Parts: sequence; C-alpha cells; structure tokens
Amino acid sequence: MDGRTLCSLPLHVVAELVRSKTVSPLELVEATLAEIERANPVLNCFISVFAEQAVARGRALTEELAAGSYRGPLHGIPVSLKDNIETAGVLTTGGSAVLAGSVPDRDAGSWANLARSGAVLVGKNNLWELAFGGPHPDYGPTWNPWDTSRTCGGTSSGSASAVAAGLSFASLGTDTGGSARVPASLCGIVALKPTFGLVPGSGVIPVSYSMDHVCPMSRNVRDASLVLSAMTSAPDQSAEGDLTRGLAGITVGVMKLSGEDVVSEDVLSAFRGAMEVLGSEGASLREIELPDLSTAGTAARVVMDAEASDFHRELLRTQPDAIGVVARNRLQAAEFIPATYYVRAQRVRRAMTDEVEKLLTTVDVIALPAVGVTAFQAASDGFGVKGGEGSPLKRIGRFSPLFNLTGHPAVVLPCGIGSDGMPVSLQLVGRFMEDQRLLAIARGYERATDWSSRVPVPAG
Amino acid sequence: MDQRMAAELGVKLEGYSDATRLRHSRRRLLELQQQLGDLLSSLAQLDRVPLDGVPMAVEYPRPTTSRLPPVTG
Repeated sequence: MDGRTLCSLPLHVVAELVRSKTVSPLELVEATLAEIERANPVLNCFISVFAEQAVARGRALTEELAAGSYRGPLHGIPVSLKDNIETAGVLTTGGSAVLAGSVPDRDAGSWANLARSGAVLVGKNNLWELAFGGPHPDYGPTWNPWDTSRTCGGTSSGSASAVAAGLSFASLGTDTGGSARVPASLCGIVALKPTFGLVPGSGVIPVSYSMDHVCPMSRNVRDASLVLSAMTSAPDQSAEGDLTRGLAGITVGVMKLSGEDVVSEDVLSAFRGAMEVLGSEGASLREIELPDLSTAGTAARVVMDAEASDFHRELLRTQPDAIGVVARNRLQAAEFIPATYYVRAQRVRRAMTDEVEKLLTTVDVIALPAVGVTAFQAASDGFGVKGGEGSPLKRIGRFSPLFNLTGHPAVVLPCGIGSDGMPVSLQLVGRFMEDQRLLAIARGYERATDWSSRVPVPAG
Repeated sequence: MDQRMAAELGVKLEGYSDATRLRHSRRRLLELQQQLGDLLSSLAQLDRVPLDGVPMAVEYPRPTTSRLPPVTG
C-alpha cells in the first residue's frame, strides 16, 4: 500500500493495521509527514511540523510494539493539535503574532492523555487568531481541501483541513461558539463537542472560561469515539457506547426550522434526506422547537467576548497593534459590554439550558443542520466572503452557539454533497455525559450512508 | 483614540497609554465603532427573554475519575 492510500484510511482501520503489525508506527509517521510536505504548501493547515520528533517517537513506539507492549487503538497513530493547545517544550502560537515565540512548559490535559495512549504529534494546526479572530497575516489562511478557493470556516480551520486531506488521522480542535463543528462541517469531517467539563480544558489558551470545549475531529464517528475515549478521564454515564446497536427505538427531536433559519436548498435537502434515513433505520422522529437561535447567539457572544476580553486585557493594553484587526476589534468592543448584560446573558443561558434539558427528557437526541450553507469562496485574507459583504460569521455560525451555552454534547457528521460539490453536515445533540451514546446514534446514521467515506481529491 | 473620539463613542479608555490612543487611526475607530454598534444593538434581544425567577448560575454535571470505555462497531 502506498503512503497516500495509507493516509487516506480511517484511524480505526490503521489502528488495526498497527495492532496486527501489518504497518508499523514508523511507517505511518513517515507516510503522514510525506503527505504534509506535499499538500501543506497549498492548504496551509499546519503552523509547525515536528518531523524529527515524530520520527523518533514513531520509532520508539514501533520498538515498544515489537517488544509486546500495545497501548491501544492510538498506538503509533499520527495526530495533530490546534495550535492553541499547549505542548511542553513545543511552540504554541495561538495563531497570533503576540505568541509567536511561546513555548509552554506543560502539556494540555487533553493532549497528555492522548500522548499516554500512544498518539504521535506530527504538528500543530493553523487557526483563526486566538480562536477568536480571523486568520492572522503572519500565518495566512487555511484552504479547504475540497476546493482550495473556499473557506474552511473557523476557528479550527487547520485541524479540519488537515484531517479531511489525509494529513493527520485526527486532530484536537476547540469549540467556544462552533469553532470545531463549523470547520468540520465545511470540510466534510466529524467533530464532537463533548459535554462541558468531560474533556480536560487545562492547557488551552482560553477564549471563554465557561464555554470552551476541546474536541476530537476525525474522518468518521468511530474514530471520534476512539479519540474521546483516550482523552477523557470520566465514565460515560449512559454506558451505551456500542456503536453497532442501531437506531431502533431511538426518538429524534427534529428542529422546526423558522424563517430566520436561513439554510440553502442544498443544506435543506440534505437535512431532510438525513431525517428520512434516520426514520428508515427505525428511529422515531418528532418535531421540536428549540430556544431562539438568534438570541442564543447574542447571549453566547456576550459571554464569550466579555470573558475573552478579560483574559486578554493586559495584551490589549500593551500590544494592541500586534493583534489582528478582527480579534482586536472584538476584544476592544467587548470592554464596553455593560456588566448587567453579562449577567443577563448568563440568565438567558440558564433558561435555555433548562429548556434543552427538558426537551431531552422527551427525545434521545436533537437533530438540526450543522451549518446553513456550504463552504463559500473566500477573499484573499481567508476570512471575508469573496466579492461579498457582511460578516462571514453570520453565515456560518447560527446553529452552533446554543450548545456552547448549554454544555450539551453535539456532534457534526457529513450528510450530503451540495450542488457546488462541497460537503453538507448534520448536527446531533445528546444528553449531558452521554457522549458515547450520542456517538452510537450518530454511528447508526453513518453506517446507513456512505457520506463519511467521501474524501476530497488530494491537493498539492 | 483621542478624547474627542472617545467622547463620541461615549466611552473612556482609561489604562491605555497616550501613545496607544494616538495609534488609533480614524479608520480603526470606525471599525471599532461598527463592531461596538453591532454588539450593543444586538443586546436588546436579551431584554425580550422572560427571566422571572431564573438565577444566573448554570450547573453542569461533574465528571468523575475513571476512563470512558472504548467502543466497538
């Protein structure tokens, strides 16, 4: 098998190849590095690549396996991290000029768990600045492997692009208002925003103390489940992690779309098609009304921007010119959010959390679109809309922030291809601490379709 | 940002150095003003949510200490 083919396989498949000693960790690492070298000049999805360290680690894990020690499904698997996740002794830029030389002295808790499981870090992924702004000119935009004139969205743009393009078998992203789910959707991969607090948040450059989530991003649901299992230290209270159990007996609450929920014909068609598949696989469908998503977006923005502005307060005063214009304007504007509105946003959050909790006593999961449009052609800065005006965030951010507010687990997975050839995704939301049960239901859908097996034509 | 511009916005930027204030070009001010305008105008949405008796704190379930089981399928 050639290196490109090897790198196009899902994580759980190469894990079996490693376990059976058909492929060594060193071979996997070398193949992945070759793919990065080939495609990263086009996609710009990595800020740093650690070839020497990855090869050394791949060699060590190969020897460990030969000696009879197997750590589990992540043994020797090349992975990457969004570059706001700290890695001891390794550059962590946050995608910002202000952290260009920053080398942390500790590993993030999520990465430490993955590393113990045998994962090999091949590089750190590009991102929108500080997981809050747009692409910083020093690092440049990341491009979508399905069409390199199109956006990946953000802020975990590099993670989504790398995984979709076969340059990493999985990546950890972060999601404060949709930052893992949106780029995953636009690049046709899977991202799980776990229950708030399930995955350690230590060692991540914060955006919002109360809404940041570390997320597995992978090529399919089963891979996301393996990564989640490796990096958590909590039991799944659902105890229903069997991904083969199917959808019979499951009740799906289907979001009633309103006139404000602007979704393209492609997205609407794919979403309806996905609901038909869930029904044909034995799930019961019930239409439900979610809290107002526009109000949820505002509440999330108030909480996120105020907390981010507090965290970056010193930076904003001492190095404002080193911060890119999108992040700087948001941080500065947030200084003028009245405290009463921060409190009010938190109360709205509480009310919406209670409302979603109540809904989830009547259904097993909630289904809604992941993003209302497919990836649009981006301006040269990789942020704005090519030839258009208006905030790109308003185009892509509607369906995500509610679940950062409420903390419920939410997974996005491919459910179609638009008329422009770009991926469309479905979002499923589950009960607190039932992340693996949510993934089992998502896997039930995935097994009934072939959307997750579609891959972009290799770039580079 | 100079004091006149700050007054137009109805804000103070105490804590910023004079040099930092002066580096704010008019363009930057306008960008910030637009950002701020968008933000403040959206806050009215929050006023329309009925919140009688709703407290501020959100209580999340607490993870305990053992590991998630791996999955199959």
